[in-house]
Amino acid sequence: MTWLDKLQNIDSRVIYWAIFITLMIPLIWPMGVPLSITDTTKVVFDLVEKLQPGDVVLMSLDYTPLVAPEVHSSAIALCKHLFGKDVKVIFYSYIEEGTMFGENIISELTGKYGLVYGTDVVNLGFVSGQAAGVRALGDDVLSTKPRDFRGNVTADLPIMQGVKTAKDFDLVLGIGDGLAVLTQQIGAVHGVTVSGSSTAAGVSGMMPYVNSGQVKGLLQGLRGGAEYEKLTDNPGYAIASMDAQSLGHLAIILFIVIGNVAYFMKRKQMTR
Amino acid sequence: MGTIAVLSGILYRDNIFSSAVEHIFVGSSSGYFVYIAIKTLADIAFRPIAQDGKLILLVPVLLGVMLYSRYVKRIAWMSRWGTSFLVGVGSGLAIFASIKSQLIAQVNATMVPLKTINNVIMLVAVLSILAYFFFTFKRKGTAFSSLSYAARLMMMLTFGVSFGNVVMGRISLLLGVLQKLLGDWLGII
Repeated sequence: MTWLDKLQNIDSRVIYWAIFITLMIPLIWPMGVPLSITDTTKVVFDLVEKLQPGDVVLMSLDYTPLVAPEVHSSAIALCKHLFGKDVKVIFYSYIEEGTMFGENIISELTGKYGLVYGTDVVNLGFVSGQAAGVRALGDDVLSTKPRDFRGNVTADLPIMQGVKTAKDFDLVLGIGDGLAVLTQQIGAVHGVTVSGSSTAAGVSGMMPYVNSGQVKGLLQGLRGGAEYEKLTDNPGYAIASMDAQSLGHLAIILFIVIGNVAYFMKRKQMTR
Repeated sequence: MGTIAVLSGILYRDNIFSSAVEHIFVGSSSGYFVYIAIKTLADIAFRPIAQDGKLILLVPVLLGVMLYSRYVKRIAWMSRWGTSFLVGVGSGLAIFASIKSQLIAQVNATMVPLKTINNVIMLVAVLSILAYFFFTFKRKGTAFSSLSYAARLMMMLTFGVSFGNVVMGRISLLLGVLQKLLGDWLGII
């Protein structure tokens, strides 16, 4: 086996270790790579800035623990911004695992912002039925979720007073891969402003909605969370990861270049 | 410990610890899903029927139970009623969403003034890719064949962008694991 063949057939564990070490180094010794703010993140920030104390926001936490490292930081950054402005937040999820992230956020931020459950924040829990469930929630919130995640009667909660349909929300935010469903079943039906955060893999699918104005702005993956943390001056996990993210991308590019150079050199060798 | 066990399976080789953690993960996830399913049924069906007297909810409960009749050959025909209802509602929602959100709004967004290079590229990409999927007549020797080549280039660029985004996402997930290991566990960062 020539060295070209070896380059094209590198053991995958070598690549895993190389990526692992490449990502660890900037986490332990940060480099301070500058972070620019994209237009789509600025739009989301401006939307939240325009909200007034007492406004009610619906936040859909549609992500699993598998992709939580990517978008949970965006959810936290958005919630910090919202609670800092005394905006009320109603969580729900149409993915089973998403409901526990609502509880995580509430327990993490209650002490810092003095939140009162039921008055400032509520976790409606899991809405079954995928798109049908989301549509039903938009049409009649109280009937679709008669009880919240903790078993309270939703109609009796102070935060739910005046909230009947999606039109009663001042902003609807989708976090994770459910933003498209939210746009189609709530944004398109009720005409409410929809925004949020998407996983990096879902950004390509969401950009047509952003470009057509159906979704106002978008936090794109972990970078979107880092940009939002920078804009709101609330540094967290996402900003701390940006150096490592940049270096990781460089490592992937290097491997792709090595693989392609080896491929074309091998092909040239064989044609001689 | 679970994270390290799974990483050992990737960075070294499959072993009993990584397999054990994978099985524990699948089992605990399944248990959580069962809990959520029972809680959801209790909240939206059983409690309203038993405590609030909303007997009309017995109809969707019955349709849902009928879905399981497919396991008994003699009464398997009953599952078609529940399935039909689900398909009908799903189709209705999908048609509305597709036409308004994915067709009309997107076509509207394509009608932009051709004053910037971005708008020109977008229009050429949309028209060429639409022409690429036009199979009514042979394209060879017509203007469609040149458009097909442009369409393939545009699609390859798009798939490249998608791939890049997926790579970015996967790196982010590994970063989350490293943050937990180095930060929360070892306290190095």
